[in-house]
Amino acid sequence: VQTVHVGRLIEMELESADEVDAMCHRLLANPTIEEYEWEVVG
Amino acid sequence: VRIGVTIFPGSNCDRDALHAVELMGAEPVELWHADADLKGIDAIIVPGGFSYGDYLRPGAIARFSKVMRPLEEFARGGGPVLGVCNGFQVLCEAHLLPGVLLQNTHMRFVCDRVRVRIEATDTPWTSGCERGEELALPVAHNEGNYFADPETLARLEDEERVVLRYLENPNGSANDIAGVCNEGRNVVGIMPHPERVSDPALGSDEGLRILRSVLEEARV
Repeated sequence: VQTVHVGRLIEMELESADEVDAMCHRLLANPTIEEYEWEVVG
Repeated sequence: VRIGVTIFPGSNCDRDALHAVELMGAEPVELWHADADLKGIDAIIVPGGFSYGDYLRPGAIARFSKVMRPLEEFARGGGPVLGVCNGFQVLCEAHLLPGVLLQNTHMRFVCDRVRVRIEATDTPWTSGCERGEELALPVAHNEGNYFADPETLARLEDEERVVLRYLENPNGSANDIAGVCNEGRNVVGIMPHPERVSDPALGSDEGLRILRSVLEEARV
């Protein structure tokens, strides 16, 4: 085994991605202990 | 003196906290999560439990409850707020206290009675205690492992904001921290449950040492 990653995957349907970063920062992740990244798919 | 106890879906120590407030000789006031005002209370206890089923992270959903808006205002205005267990987790998620409570390092729920030491008496919730005083208090949690970045931890120690420290660490928390306070020292979060040892009929009323402090404060 070279690397292991355990994380949380959240899928959402949104009208616009404008506020995704704020959502991640305020609720979906706790920046004190968690990192996050997000992408728009389709 | 009127002391409010917040009730979220999944809170399970609210009744104990309300009962403890009565035993303190104060008037207990229920603060429902959907209440938009604090009903003229003098202090607030955010009790333990599993608010909103601990979904996402403990306390993460509760911090967006309607009652939290006036509570945050009350806290920022210097009003005494005590978070116990899940209440501590809620106050951290609401950024009223620094840090976060991680899962216990041994990965198991801990339900025990532990010895803790009062490290700071200049908070409304410990002013009736002696510095260095030891208490035996119940703990019951899966996420009680206090974590903050090294700078924050150093700052907490420098400013003597560690209010309660474990004598035997039950969860792996940094610096044996069992409770901390905010910069203004009016907001305190602790993992142990003083309300569960506030009635001699249940074997101990040591918890009143902590809870009753706020009455002295209110009468000043």
